[in-house]
Amino acid sequence: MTIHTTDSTLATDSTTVVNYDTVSATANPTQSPASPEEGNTMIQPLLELKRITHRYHQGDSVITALDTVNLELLPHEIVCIMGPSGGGKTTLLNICGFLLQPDHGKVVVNGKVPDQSSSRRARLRNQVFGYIRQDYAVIDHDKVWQNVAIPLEYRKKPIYGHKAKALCSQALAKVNLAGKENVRVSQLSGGQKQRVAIARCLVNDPSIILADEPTAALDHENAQEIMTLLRDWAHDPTQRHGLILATHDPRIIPYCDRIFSLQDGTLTQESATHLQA
Amino acid sequence: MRQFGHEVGNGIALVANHFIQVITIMMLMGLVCFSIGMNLPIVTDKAIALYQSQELRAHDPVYFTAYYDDTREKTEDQASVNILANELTKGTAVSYISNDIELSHKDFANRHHVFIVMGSKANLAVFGIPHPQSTKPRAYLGSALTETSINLPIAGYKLTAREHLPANASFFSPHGFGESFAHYVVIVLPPSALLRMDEAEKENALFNTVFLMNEPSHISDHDLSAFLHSCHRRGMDFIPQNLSVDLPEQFRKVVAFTISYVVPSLALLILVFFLFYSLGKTLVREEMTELRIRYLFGATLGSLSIRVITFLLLSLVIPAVLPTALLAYWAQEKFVIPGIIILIFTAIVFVLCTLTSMRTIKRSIS
Repeated sequence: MTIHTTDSTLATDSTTVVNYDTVSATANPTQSPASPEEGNTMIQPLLELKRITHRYHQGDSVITALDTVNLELLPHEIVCIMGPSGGGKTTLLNICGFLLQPDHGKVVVNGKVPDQSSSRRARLRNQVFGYIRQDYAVIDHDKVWQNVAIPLEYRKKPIYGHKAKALCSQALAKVNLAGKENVRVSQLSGGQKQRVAIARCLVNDPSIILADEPTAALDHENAQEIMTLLRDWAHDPTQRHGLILATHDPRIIPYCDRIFSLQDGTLTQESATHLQA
Repeated sequence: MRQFGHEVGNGIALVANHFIQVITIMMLMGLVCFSIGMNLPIVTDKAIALYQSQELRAHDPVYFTAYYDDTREKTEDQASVNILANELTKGTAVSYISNDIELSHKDFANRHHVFIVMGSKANLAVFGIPHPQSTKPRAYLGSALTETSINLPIAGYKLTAREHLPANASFFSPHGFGESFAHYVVIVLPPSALLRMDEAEKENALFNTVFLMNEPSHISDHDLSAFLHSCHRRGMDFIPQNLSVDLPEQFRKVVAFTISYVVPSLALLILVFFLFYSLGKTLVREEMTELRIRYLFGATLGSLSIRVITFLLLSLVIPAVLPTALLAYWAQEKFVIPGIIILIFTAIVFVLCTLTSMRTIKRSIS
């Protein structure tokens, strides 16, 4: 079994994309900006998957979705997981986001292994992670701001009402949806709905966004807009943000710092040029 | 606590999105409760009475069908009344008066239906009455009557009905089927009281006479002949009928009658309950996106279950129970059984929908 992992010795800086593969960072138009932490010898990863194995039972057969997978997400980094449908991408994201417990291995967040109690996991989902899904995952019959405010309701100190709406307005402004607070989501286009989903991630200021096929249902222009938004968020030099994308949309490749292929449960780091070819 | 209140509040708010389903559930449950509530007592009264008539049947009873000849001159012949009173005293007959009681006294028994039973074997005809063997004059209120007491001056007695009969008290008439005593005032009188009744009451008692022919001292052929002749002189031609022979036929009629009520009610019940369950699942499915999103962004299954339970209580349970409760308030005893059926089913659907929604959330997330 071949296991391709991120070499921890290379993980000194999110901008050291060139170290990971043959792709030159300067050759990438969407290269990450210099990190404020550049020069630090040890950068703590935002998220680490250590020897994660997960299997599904389907009738009598056992399907290995993830086989001893290791992965690190550094600050300001955009990691892309590519692979065929049913290849385990969503499973990997769910394990990253504490939505699913792996059979083996551990998930480390900011250097710590959180306990697996349901309330602790819920707290992590709320404070550390933001989720974007292919199907937009928005509540059509609610107003835009009500959709965006959901994470605020589950904070340790929940925020409701006017204060929540004000925070939602700020988040919506970041995704160019200022003034749409009171519009019903059902009245928005697909691209706008996805931006509402992004605003919902941003409103709680998470450090990691897990995006599952975020551009799959979008046209080229909307896909570009969404990826630009996400890239700008991840590469914000003033914050410790990181983004993991699961996709088979090749349009996303130029926006990513590292690209992995997930097939038959095995995670393999890919060359971007190879993928683009 | 604040989070709990918030989840409850949001569960309430969700109901507003499902106004049409809520109204549909209310109408469906109201319909099914009303339908069963109206049909079930009719069926059960008759079935219970017929079942209980087995005891009467064991006494080889003879009753009479009457033909009235209005062209003939009638007399108030007392021989038949005396024979009946004598047989009642011996315990070889039972009789009752269900119509034409105290015609001159319009407000008698607060204008409720009155049923008078006579004879020490009255328990054969009247069921659910305490101490039925006693002929001591006494009176009872039907279970549906709201009065606490009613004064009943009759046949020289000044009775007061205070005690309520059990809800299932009913009587079996060889002439018809069974009927519930729920709305009746029931009076038990000794045989001697018959002699002090007015002619209309006596005539009714004669018509409802049942002779118990398996008793060792049953009515003699001579007395029976005299009884029939006396009734003839009163304008009534009686034809003796053997209840043991007639009962199987009556039983078949009751079964057919019961089926004609029960089968459509049962079909409606099954249909409505499947619809109800399906509506419950639809409600949950429609809210699943929101529940999933909330789970993604920090809700625990515990907090989501508060939301789902509140939502289902308001959108399923209350709409289902409200019409039942209103109907039960309006006509208590009729809707007790359908109310219980609906409550049980609602509880099952509620638990199923809650578990389904929780399982679906967990499954869809992972």
